[in-house]
Amino acid sequence: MKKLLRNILTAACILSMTACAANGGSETPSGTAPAVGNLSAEGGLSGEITVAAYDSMMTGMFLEEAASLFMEKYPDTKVNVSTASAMPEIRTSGGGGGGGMSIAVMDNSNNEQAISDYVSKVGTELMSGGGADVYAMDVLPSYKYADSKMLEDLTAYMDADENFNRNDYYTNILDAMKYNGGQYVFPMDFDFSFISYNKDLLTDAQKSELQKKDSYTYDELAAIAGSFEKSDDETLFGSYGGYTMPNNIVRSFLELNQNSLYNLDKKEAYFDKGTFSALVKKADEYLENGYVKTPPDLTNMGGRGGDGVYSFSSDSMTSGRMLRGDGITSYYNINSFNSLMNFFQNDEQTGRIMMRAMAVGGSSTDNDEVGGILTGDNGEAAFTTSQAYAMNANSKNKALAWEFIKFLASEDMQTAFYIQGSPVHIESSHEKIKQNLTGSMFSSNSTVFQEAENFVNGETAASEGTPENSEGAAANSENAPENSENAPANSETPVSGNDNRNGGGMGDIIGANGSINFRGIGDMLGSNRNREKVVLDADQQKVYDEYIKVFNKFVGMLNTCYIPDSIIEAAVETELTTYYNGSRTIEEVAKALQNRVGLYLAE
Amino acid sequence: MNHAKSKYRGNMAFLYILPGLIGFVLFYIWPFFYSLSYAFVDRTVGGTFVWFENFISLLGNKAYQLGLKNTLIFIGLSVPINMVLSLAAALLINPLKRSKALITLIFLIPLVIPSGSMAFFWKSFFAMDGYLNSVLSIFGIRVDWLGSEAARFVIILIFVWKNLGYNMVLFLAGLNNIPKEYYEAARVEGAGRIACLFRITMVYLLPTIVLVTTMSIINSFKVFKEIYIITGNYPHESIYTLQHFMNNMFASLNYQKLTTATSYLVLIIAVVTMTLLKLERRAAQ
Repeated sequence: MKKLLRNILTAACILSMTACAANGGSETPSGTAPAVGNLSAEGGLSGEITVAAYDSMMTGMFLEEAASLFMEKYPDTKVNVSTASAMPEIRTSGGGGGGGMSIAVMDNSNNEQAISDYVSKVGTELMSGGGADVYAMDVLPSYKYADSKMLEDLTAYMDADENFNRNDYYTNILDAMKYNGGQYVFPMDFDFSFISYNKDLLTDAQKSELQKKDSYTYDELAAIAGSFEKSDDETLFGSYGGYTMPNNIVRSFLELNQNSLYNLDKKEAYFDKGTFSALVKKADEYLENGYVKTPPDLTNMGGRGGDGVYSFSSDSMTSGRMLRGDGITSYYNINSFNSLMNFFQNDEQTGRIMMRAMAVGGSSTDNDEVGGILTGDNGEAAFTTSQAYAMNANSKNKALAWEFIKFLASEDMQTAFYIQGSPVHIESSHEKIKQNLTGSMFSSNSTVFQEAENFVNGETAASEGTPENSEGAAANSENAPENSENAPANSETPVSGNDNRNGGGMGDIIGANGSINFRGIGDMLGSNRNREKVVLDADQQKVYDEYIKVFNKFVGMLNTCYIPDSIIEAAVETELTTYYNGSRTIEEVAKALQNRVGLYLAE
Repeated sequence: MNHAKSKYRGNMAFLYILPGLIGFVLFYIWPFFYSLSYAFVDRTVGGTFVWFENFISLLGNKAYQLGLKNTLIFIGLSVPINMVLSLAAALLINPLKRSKALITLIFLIPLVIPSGSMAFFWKSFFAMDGYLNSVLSIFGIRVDWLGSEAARFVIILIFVWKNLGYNMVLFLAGLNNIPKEYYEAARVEGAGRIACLFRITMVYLLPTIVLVTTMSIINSFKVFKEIYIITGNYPHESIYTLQHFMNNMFASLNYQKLTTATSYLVLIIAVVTMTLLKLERRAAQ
């Protein structure tokens, strides 16, 4: 029996060793030129690929539209899109009568557990040699996959493809997303913040000082403003209505200077070199000196509000509500680039209702003028992306995957509504600016805006209304009984898919039970199908020319894109909590973080 | 006839353990050797055979060195401490007649309490603002138990607390196996308690000591559960052990480093166990 046992074990060992050898031998040789360019030249792309993303909303809808357009262009191909996050739910309460209706949006997509489950699932797929051909890097740790050689370096594809010209894109943006010299991730867009200053609060000398440069650090701006004294209704730096959450200012400092804290390329941590302690103490100083004002009611988290440094409380509406300040003026405002346009045009040109509701960031008033962009202490000018894509190194159909990524980055798709930042394709970003200028970002065939305007004016009996139109709701309360009778007739079954391309009425958007059909919104807000190029009149052209000068100047300065690492962020967050609740000094926190993050990077 | 019978019994025995053996091979032996194949390639999917490159580079990895050092220090401290304490406890309890069973039961309770609930207690006991610090603050002392060098002693304490009963029971069984005649003969010869202890007890307890050492080393790896719940993935550097390293490698999908570390560990444990068994055999002679 002993002999039999021994034989079995020996057989098991030999079998597994041969499996190992077989694995080792069947690799695809790296370094051979990718087969691109030829396929599209012949006009015949074929094959099937899968594209995966976590976010089912903007990213998912963008991919679905791209997939259907791509399949129309190349009939022999098949693109499968799979997304993982749950769609948001809309809960309405308060009913249609009387003006007090509240709508709560339950955004289910930021569920940490769901995200980490998705990341594990993708990791397992990649490790077993399978997985999708193209991945959206919305929640995935791209640099880790690049380290394990799970992502394909797209540089070879970009160079070999004659139909792809790198100079059609903002090359500094593409370069900033390189990791270890390789272009593993292709960004679709970018978003950055800029500073505006209140021209009434600053002296002429200070203003001319500001106009000398285009980029500033926080300290430089504070120095220019000179002796700022703490006051109840003024603050030095403001965002979103003047107030800033305490953890936001700390995070802003840490993010702007991330390269001084740790380096993912070199796998080193620098927390104990003094920069970290200095930044956290500076954030404390800013709060003490009144450079930033915190909302008055910060009862939770030791007086720092519900959000953590990197994490957001599940009720993100509370933070938003807390930040709206009345009567707080800021010397400097930090705005998202989307509001840059507001500085160049009159109110009549700002756009219609929906656009104002969706305007992002900025508490800039008519007194503000554009300053420059914020940089870290070492000149890092950062941007973020909302969508970026990478190719699986083990994809069975790399040529087609590259063609799809190229299609996503091409003019066909770059002007899509779902691209939230500025497109990285230069021509498309100009086109989007023009759309923004003329308000034609949304499908001009849509009757929704007319209906929405009528609703606000109390004319039409649409079904449940838009959230911010409280006057409209009050005016409509007499119409309420007719509303509820009409509701079933108005609402059809939510439109799914691509049928109603050229927009529809409110009935397509809001279903019978108050649920909102997000696909309907996407369809209404602008398909890229049959979209015509925008033509500007003389006034608009002038505004555009002025704007594009400043825009190009700012974009040209961008040079860093922060790779978020959830483990490092979680470590910083937990350790900083012990500092803010008084149990540790900042030097101890810095040392603990150095050990922890250093260990993590050294692994 | 006898030979045939024993051969038949042997075959029957083999048949009985065959199902268990198949499961063991299928779920432990085979996956272990298959995962070993990851250690010889440079990446998990489509990798090339790189001989022992991973093994050599792992030795230079700072995190692995730290984990290895901490694990060896931990075993080097906790196993002897645990053995001495449990042997002392067994020697003290053995002569008792009435309350022996009750006391043994009390010592075994730590073993059956679920790790999760105990970890919660340990955490609140040793936290910066926990029970222990609030008692010590009366004397003006405040120690960061979990975030400084003191953490090492915390986990040794947790390990000893949990496994004292287990080892004590093993020692009790071993003590019971020593024939009482030896002690009587020794007392007749005029030997004192200490002489009895060292000349008789320790000598005849040697097989049990070898067993307890082996089981203690194995159990020292199991204490990772509590440490992980209390301090997470990246604890203070004094308690960052090999299991933390391997766990993190698994989470970051670095199968090469994971299986290489596992192979080293298996090698070390095999060497240690074989040495102990050889020692025992020689001592038995």
